[in-house]
Amino acid sequence: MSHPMSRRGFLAGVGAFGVASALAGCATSTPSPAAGSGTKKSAALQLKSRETSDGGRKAMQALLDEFAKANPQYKPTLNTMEPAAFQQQIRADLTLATPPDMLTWFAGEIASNFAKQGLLLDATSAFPADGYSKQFADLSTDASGKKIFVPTNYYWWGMFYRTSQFEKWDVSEPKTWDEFIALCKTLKGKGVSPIALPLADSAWLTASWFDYLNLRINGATFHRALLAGQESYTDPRVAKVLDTWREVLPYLDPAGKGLAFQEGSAKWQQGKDAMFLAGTFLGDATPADVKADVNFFQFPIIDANVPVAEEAPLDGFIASARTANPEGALAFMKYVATPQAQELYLKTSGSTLIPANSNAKSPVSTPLLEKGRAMVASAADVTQFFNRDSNDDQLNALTTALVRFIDKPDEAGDILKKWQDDSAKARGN
Amino acid sequence: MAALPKAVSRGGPGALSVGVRRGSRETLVLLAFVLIPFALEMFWTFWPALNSVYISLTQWDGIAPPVFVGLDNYARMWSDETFRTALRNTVIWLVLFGGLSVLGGLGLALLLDKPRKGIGIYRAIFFLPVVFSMVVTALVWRMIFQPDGVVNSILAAVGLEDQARIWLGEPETALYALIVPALWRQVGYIMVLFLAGLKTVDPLLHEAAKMDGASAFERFRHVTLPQLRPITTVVLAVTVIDALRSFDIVWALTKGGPYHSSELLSTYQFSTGLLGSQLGYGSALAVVIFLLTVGTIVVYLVRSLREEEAA
Repeated sequence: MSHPMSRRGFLAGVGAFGVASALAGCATSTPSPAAGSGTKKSAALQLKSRETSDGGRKAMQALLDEFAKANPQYKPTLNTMEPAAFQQQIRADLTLATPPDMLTWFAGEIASNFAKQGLLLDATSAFPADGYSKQFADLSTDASGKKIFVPTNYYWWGMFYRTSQFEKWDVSEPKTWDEFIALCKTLKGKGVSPIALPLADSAWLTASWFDYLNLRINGATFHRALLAGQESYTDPRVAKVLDTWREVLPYLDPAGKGLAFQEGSAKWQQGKDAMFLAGTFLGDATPADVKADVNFFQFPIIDANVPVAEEAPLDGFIASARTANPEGALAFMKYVATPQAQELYLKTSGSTLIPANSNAKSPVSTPLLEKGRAMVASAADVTQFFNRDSNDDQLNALTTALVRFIDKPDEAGDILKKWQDDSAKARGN
Repeated sequence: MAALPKAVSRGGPGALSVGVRRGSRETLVLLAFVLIPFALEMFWTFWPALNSVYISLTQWDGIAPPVFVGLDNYARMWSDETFRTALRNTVIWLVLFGGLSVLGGLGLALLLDKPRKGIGIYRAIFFLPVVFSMVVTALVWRMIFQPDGVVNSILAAVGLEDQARIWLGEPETALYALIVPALWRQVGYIMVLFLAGLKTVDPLLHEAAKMDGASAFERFRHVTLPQLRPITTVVLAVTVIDALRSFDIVWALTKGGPYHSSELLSTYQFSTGLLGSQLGYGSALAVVIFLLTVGTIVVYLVRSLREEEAA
């Protein structure tokens, strides 16, 4: 055949394109324009996002609008889904024949697993050579050395408190574990409940305590090996983590078992609980007049010989390997890696996040943000968070073990045995 | 098929050919009425259900091809402490939630059956919880059970501070604290079913029994109950199904926690198979729930049918 495309082929192409855009229209409720010519590749790009907050949604739309302005050949649409459902559906989404082209996601084990199964688009060509720290670049790379993830921003974890309350109680930030325990004792002596840990709907918060204690006592290398199943939870080093945590248990707010996250953070905000080990989302949820009063300190150092690691969960984008429009998806990934795009996103969303590209400036720089940025930058190592570094089945095994430990610390040995058992079973070996 | 046209044709010999044609069209329509819903049901209900039986014999994370492991997932349940807890809790739930809601619903129906002034208001009050969405119910009860919520405040007010607990946060109380709101809702529903049943009880029989000197209890035992039998069958089937599929109130209030102490089979199945990535094991749990439900109901229906035949 001399022509590049026969008449029948042309019609079939137009038909297929029409069906594809009709389907895209269903999902996004914005019908794509009818195909003008059969020779042109698909112009539709769908971004599936789990940013449901008002600011987050506006910021995603702003990114797409700016991208479309610079690349008028693409017609990007936004499809926002509630995070729990998003998380549940992503496996199905990535294996669809017509998947969403780009998706919001995070660095860590799950993304690496997706890549291992060949579900993610190779984004090496979209990844900028300059601007990302080695840590972040490594976190975006799969086992075969391909870049599969483009990070856009991160937040950090710390022991959050209110400056005015600490002044009122006449206490200051502790640096070491002993100082921290002494502070808890002092606060309790003043009739203040030292630590908030609401568990009714957010038992997963116990993972932050485990992560940090394990990082401070045993270091990031052991932590990763443990999460990957190469070390056992019955290891004496893990027992030591629980022993150390036990020193803190008397200082947890005993009502925490019955409080939901909202109720727990309200209590902390009112100064009824002094400290809350949390991510920056805790401060973001406070009213405007409280925001300036929110402060944090680094999780106390337990063993000075262990290199300091911090939790800095990294968010960004992945693209589906089955996208009908790989050029468009890559162009979008390239765009979101730029400092301008990251600044635009943070300005629009208004959340306490730090841009992942070090050439980007925080549009609203606060002392809190700078303190967080400095802490993460000075860390020897960065971890993501327990379930990001492993998966949700492993998180389930952890919350079962740790909530029971808070209740019955004497059963530590049995708890660790069961934890190892649950963890291995969830892994299928 | 040869006998069919004759059987459906209603015309005389002269109308036979018309009758054959009309008859076969009717047959087609009838077949379509039966087969199309059957095909849809097969496709949307039975086929997925059969698939999940197959998935339960595999190890599958939802992405990579499933690996056939035979009955390993079922064997795993024996050594799974959480499964045993969930199974025990489900039995407790079936007995307490099922039993109390039937007794409570029947009691209320008997109380509210007699026409009296303002009886409609009372019925409406007891039925109201059924109208609320379960998530709303859960929100209200979360506040009631909070550490400084209504229950603990009342206990403190009557001098029982030492009995105050974190009802939903302690493994000893969580399951029972969950049964209360579930009952609060179900009792009204069962009451309505029994009220409808009581309407069919013949008042003449009561009068006759009264004339013969039967006491109120005797009349209930020998007049009301036997006549309620058909509705009792429905109520028990509904109760067993509702008890075994109870999920929303538990998920909304404790998610099966603290540390699986209020886990039911349904919540355990959801968190392993749907939230986690162990689709094989999750499907095996679903199959077990299915067998339990069907088993309980079949046993009951067979028994009551046999009784009816014997009667």
